[in-house]
Amino acid sequence: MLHEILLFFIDGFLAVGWQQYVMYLIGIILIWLAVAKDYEPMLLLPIGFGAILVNLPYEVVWQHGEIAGVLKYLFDAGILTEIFPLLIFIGVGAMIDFGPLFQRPWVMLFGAAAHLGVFVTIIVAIMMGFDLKEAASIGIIGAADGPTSIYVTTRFAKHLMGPITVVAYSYMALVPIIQPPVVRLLTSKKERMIHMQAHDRNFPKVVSITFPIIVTILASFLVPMAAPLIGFLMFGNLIRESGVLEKLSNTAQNELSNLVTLLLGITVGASMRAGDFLQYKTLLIMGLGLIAFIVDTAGGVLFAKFINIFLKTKINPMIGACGISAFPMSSRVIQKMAFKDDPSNIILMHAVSANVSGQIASVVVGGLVLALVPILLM
Amino acid sequence: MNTEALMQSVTLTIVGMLVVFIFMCLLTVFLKLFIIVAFRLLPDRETAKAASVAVDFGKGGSEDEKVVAAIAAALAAGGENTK
Repeated sequence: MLHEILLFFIDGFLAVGWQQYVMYLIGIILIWLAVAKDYEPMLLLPIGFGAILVNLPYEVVWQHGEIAGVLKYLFDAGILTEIFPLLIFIGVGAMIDFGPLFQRPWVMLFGAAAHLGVFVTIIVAIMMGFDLKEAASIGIIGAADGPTSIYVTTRFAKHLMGPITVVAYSYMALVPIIQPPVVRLLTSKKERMIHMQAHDRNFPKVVSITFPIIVTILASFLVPMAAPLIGFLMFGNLIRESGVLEKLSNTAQNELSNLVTLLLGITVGASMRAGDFLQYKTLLIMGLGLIAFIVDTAGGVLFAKFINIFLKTKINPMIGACGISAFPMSSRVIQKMAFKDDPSNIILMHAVSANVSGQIASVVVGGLVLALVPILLM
Repeated sequence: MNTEALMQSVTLTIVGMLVVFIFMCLLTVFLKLFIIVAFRLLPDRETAKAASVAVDFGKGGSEDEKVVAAIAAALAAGGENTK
């Protein structure tokens, strides 16, 4: 009897192996990064805690015997159905001001160029032994767009959800560390000191209201698979720009966004079960994610330099690096770099414009990958 | 290494980058034309508020130093990515 009582109390300790303890450590590191380093705390903290929760004895929060746990219910209802990332997109859309983009539409090309990393990473991932669907999910880390990464991974490689999401959000937080060396390597000081004129003017309100509608239609005609992503993003933006739904706009930006982010974080963390996460592939994904961000940055900068060949009035090639979707961090990083070389150089307006275009491009690239991969596999 | 998958990924890269560029070009042309038309058709245009920090900073001119200081403060303030 005494033996059974003792067993009852130590049962939990015996039910976990070293892998679970490693996952607790990883969870604690993620929480530490969120709290102490302020790296994407809204995501990394819930993900870290979710990683601990799901690796507790018997994984009760995931599944215990025949009974599904609460996090599995959330995962099935929110991630597998793709509802969480899409709801987040409504909030993100409501937060985006496309105004800077209307001032200089030509910077949208940087949004395209700075997604080169997505595709190059897919090629490298194939070389490393991943199949095309896995490689596509990994490559999307280069979109620097968490919800799109989750959306694509849900369709193509659910088993890699944990590592891909953690890597995507981690590198988004590390943009200030990743981008500057790449930009410095590819540009001369003279190029970084190029000033750019900004004569911003007010624009008719009809433009800002019509823009989300037109983008949705255009993107969905060109890449039908992008319709849910771009549609929800632009719906949020339309709520904001309409000017008659202030309460809904505020709700989308705050309550909706915060609530779904909270549930998304802890649910993604729950996909980090030791058996799935502690693999050689996770390390590879970390390396590939870094490649994606580096090539993105290089793609944007080199494209700007290429354009400069044909321009009389040169543009500062650093703004090409802002074509990624990590908004507003990337534009802030680039302005800081401009200040460093020349304290009177203000390129923030152009950088923000490119950065905003990156948010549109990331969603289109996500839709493209979703559409093209099945066709190629036929 | 799977050669077939490698060829598929190269095709994906070429087609993908091409379509993204085409889309962004179309959007650029559309936006440019639309803004021109909107300005012409709406003489008493209701202008949208320049909500973004960046646009406010963009006014420049004689207050350049104030603008630089404001941008420096904004850069120091930090903040999170929207997604």
